[in-house]
Formats: sequence, structure tokens, C-alpha cells
Amino acid sequence: MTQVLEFSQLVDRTLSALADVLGSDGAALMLIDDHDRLRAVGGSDDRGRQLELIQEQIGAGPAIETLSRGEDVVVDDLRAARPFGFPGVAARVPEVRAVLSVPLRSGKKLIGTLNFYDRTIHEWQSAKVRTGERLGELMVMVLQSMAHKSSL
Amino acid sequence: MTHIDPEALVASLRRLQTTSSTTGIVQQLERAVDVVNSLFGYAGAGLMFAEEGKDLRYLVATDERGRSLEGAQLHLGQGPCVSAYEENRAVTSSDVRVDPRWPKLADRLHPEVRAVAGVPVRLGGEPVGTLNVYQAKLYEWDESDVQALYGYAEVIEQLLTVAMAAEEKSALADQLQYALDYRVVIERAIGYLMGKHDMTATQAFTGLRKQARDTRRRVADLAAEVLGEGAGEIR
Repeated sequence: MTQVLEFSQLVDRTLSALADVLGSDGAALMLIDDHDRLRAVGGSDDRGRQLELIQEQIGAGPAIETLSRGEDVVVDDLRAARPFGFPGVAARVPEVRAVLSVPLRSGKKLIGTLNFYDRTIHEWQSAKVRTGERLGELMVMVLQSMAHKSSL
Repeated sequence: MTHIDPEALVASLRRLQTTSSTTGIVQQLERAVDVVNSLFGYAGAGLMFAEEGKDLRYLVATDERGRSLEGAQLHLGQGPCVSAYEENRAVTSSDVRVDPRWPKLADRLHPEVRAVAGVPVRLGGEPVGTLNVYQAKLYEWDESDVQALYGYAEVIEQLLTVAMAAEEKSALADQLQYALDYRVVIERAIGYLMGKHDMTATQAFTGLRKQARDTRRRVADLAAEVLGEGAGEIR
């Protein structure tokens, strides 16, 4: 198996595991690439991948805002009008309703965002938001491990 | 099939190479256990891995109490984490100090180790160690606790997989490679012994391990002999 395929599977499994731990319907990842562009890396399912792709395409969404503010963005209902929701994104991924987006850092540097999502509207409890932040640290560990142990 | 864009992933990892320094797998595991411990808010957490010729050996423990839990199990060859490894499933105890499954454990434990939960950490589908958490009081573990532990174990498995894929040169990598290579043989020998002697999996594994220890051999070598000769007897 090529290393790239293996790493894709690793990221896929890690995202699924992190979603399971948080108790969310899925998790997805956007990362800044070597041309300083924010890229939709993917998700634990097709919904997650779509969520990130739409944000990359239209340049707006909870992940984009997380990166710009450098802090968590909590969305109880993606379809709500701005500033609480992102109806432009919601229209393209109708099955995603609640989103928690946490910034990912390597050292002090922002490298992307980890986005948990659910199919139903709900309020994100602060304990869950804190858990999401710490799960982001685990995601960074896996990414750092891949970055330094590969011939890219 | 994954839902990952490999090109986007590679381009991002290239950038990450320039923004972070490399760390060894042991350091990564220590940090991962630290995160797990803080997320659970329990008294402590730890990781144990199988070692050639021996059983589980602790690698990471968040504090002295955790070390006493793991040390006690290593010394006695029994306990919830040992069972989780041998049986390849989650094992919990609401109060390990009075649990009839491991009556000798209490004497060797720190008094603040009470409720314990362990799940296997796997490589290639086979258990190579366990992720363990404990509480300083009685606690009834529920399904959500166990599922969360499995989730964390899965993340740790990804860290291990990357380390193994990179053929990292370290004592842990050697241990894990051994566990990977030979666990399959051990599993087959267990299956054979269960059928031949009408044993449970735990009985078969315990018997293999005891005989290996008594004859100063590796479990995997004994397992291979059992399979090869088809007539190995476990006393």
C-alpha cells in the first residue's frame, strides 16, 4: 500500500475515532497547505467531506471563521441567519446542522481546524467544547507524526 | 474507501514538516495519555504493552498510583488490564480492591486505586497492549465510558501505526513488531488448544504463558511448536 493511501486511511480512522469519543455524528478536517491555502482534507463520512469542500469553495463557514479568529466557533444551527449560522454553507450540506469548529495548532502556529458536526440542532455544552479542543490536540499529534515519519 | 483528499493531505503535511519538530513515539504516547487523562477527569491513566518473553509491561503512567496498578499486575500476571489484553476486549472493575477475579491485587495496590477500566490497543487488529484508566473511588463504568476509551485507543493505534510504518528504531518499535509478528501465531495456538483440550481462550493463553515462563521460552516460540507438532501438551 502506498504511504499516501495509508496516511489517508489513518486520518479517516482518527476522525471517526474522535467523533465517537465526542459523541458527534462526524468529524472533518481543514488544513493549511504548503502554499498557505486552507484545504478541505476530508471527513469521517461523505457529509464531513462535503462540509469542508463547500467552505473551501465559497471561502466562508465555521472553519473559515475559526481560522480567522483563532478560537472555537460554536454553531447550534448551521441554517440560522448570520451571525449565528452559515446559511450559504447549510444550503449545500443540508444534513449538517450543529457544528463545533476548533483551531488546530502546532506549537503556536495555526495549522487548520477540526470540525465536529451533528445532524440535529442543539446547543454545544461548554464541557463538550473543551473536550473538542483537547481532541484537537490528539489530531495534531497524529498529523505531526505522519509529517515527520514520511518521505513527502 | 476513505473520505480524504490525499493530495490536500500531503500538501498540508509538507507544510507541517516545517512548523513542528519531530518527537519519538514514546514522547507522543506520553502526551496522548496526558490528554486522555485530562479529558476523562479520572485519577489517572496509563499504557501497557506486550514485551517479548514477558507479558505486559507498563510504558506510561500518569502518576505513582497508576504505576502501582500496573506494577501489581505485572508482578502477579493478573488484573483487569492483563485480562483486557488476553481477552482482547474491554475489562472494567468498579472496585478492584475487592474484586473476586483478582484477589491478590489489593495488597500491592496504592489505596487510592479503586475503579479500573482497560481496553486493548491493537495493531493490525491484534492486541499489543492496553489503555487503562482508574478512579480513586468506587465507580460503575457505563457503556459511554467504554466507548470513549475505545475511541482513544483507536487514536493511539494510529500513532503506533505511523511509528511502525516509518520503521522507527526504538525499543518500543521492536516490541510492537514482535507483538505483531507473533500474536497471530499465539492466537492460532490458543484456538488449537481450546479445541484439543476443551479450554477457554483465557485458560489456553494462561497455560501457554505459564509453560513458556517455566521453561524460560518465548510464548510465541512455544505457540509455534504447539502448532507445528500438533501435539504440544500444556500442563
